[in-house]
Amino acid sequence: MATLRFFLREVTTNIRRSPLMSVASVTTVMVLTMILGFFLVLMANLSNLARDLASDLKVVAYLQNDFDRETLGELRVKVQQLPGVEGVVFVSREQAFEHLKKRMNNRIQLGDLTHNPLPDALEIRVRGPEDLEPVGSAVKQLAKVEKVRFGEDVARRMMSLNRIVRYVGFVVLGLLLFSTLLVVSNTIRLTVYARRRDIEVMQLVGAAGWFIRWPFLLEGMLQGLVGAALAATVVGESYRLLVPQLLKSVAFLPVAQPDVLLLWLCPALLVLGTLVGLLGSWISVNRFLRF
Amino acid sequence: MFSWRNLLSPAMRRPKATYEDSMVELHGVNLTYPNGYQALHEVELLVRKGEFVFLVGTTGSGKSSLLKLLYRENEPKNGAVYVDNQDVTELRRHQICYLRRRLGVIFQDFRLLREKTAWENVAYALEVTGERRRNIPKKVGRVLELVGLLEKRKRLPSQLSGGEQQRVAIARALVHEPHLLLADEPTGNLDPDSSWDIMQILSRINAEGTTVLVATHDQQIVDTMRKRVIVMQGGRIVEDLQRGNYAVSGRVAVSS
Repeated sequence: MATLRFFLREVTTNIRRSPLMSVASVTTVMVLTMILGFFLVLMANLSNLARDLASDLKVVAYLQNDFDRETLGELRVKVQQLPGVEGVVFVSREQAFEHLKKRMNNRIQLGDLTHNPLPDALEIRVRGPEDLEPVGSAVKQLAKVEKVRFGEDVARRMMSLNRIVRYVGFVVLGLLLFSTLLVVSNTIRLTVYARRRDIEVMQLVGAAGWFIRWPFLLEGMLQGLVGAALAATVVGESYRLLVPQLLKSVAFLPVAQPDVLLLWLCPALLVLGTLVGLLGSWISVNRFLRF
Repeated sequence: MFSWRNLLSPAMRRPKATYEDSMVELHGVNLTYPNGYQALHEVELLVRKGEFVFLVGTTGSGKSSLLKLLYRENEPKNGAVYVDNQDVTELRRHQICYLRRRLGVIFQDFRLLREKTAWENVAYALEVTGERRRNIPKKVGRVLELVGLLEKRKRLPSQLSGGEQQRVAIARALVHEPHLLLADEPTGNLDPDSSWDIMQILSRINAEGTTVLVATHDQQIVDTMRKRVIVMQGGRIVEDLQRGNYAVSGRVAVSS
């Protein structure tokens, strides 16, 4: 306990003695963690988008306006017998209208419409992306089917995009982490260098290596944590501000919900910042410590 | 008992410390710096417990290099270095700090922490070695009193004269109650009066039982103190005189 108190006192005096150095370290961690954070936000959204589009493996058959709901059972059986069909859901025009209203989140005044412009539809789930095309064209041949929509192309492209995003993401993430570590350890090295005389004296009077190291490591962790906290605030707040704006202009964009995303992103950034500070000061202090 | 040393040929085995009362013992020590400069050649030396020894010689004669061997700032290429009956060349890196807690070292440039007061500088040496907190004030007070600086304990090094700063450094070196005090040109930056103060303090410490080893080229002090004088030249010990004086060593240095 006494030792911990000594370490904390050392850290606070060190920070008070060279506040500019601390500001430099914190700023460095903050800027780099911010880049990292924005990149993670981008990645999360891309993979969200890809997942959203890829999971939408269904053929939607819009029915003609004069479709008689009495014949629904007949039509449903016909569709169900097609190879590759997993399930059929009837979506009435009323349901579709309600769904649309919910999706638009009342941002557009649907009350202005004098009648429901939406048709009845069948949502046909298929087994895999390869079933989209045959089921789609078969359904199109059926009576009373006005139009068929299936996002085969999009789905396939999105799945490969998802893979690419993942690979590129991990590589870029690794590079970003590595460069963060390098820059931070170099910045912290300046603060360690400024105190090399203290280190010398400590070694001279018989301080153990870990005893000399700990205050520096604590300081690095603290600086990393503060920098990361600032970065997380900037990233989080700007994402919170950005998402409603985005949804206003592109209503159906499947963006990651800020609350859900930030719930794991902020702790992740804090842990990363602290670890980077710790590792950075470890690297730096070992250049001046010979034992 | 098994020892790796036994696997070496007899010629390569290091001799054990030979004397029961030896404080510093060097056998066949060669020291070469990474740049290839050989600072010490086949040095043999014995300093017994309780001795006061001057190490004299011109700049570059190897005085500092020899002292650095003793507090393991340098490691010899070969040979054995015993301090307080322990072969310090066999210490692992993390063990060096325990050696240093048994030594006190002072330098020409004091090496005090500029931002800490006299008291804090001395207390720091105890704090970093994990001394119990409640023991610190008593120990610090004792050594500061010994060097006559108790009333100036709240001053920063910049508010103290050179001689006073060196006395703080001595207090710091003594606060662990070391068995051996090493001083590398302790009066190099001081005026004659202050130098004399410092030597008085070192002499008193020695009288209380601490072995003292002083590297210096202050002729007047060496001549006055009439202690054992070891003369170094070109990395070799060329003369070892009980109750010697600098004039002898000076003659040796000039005649070569």
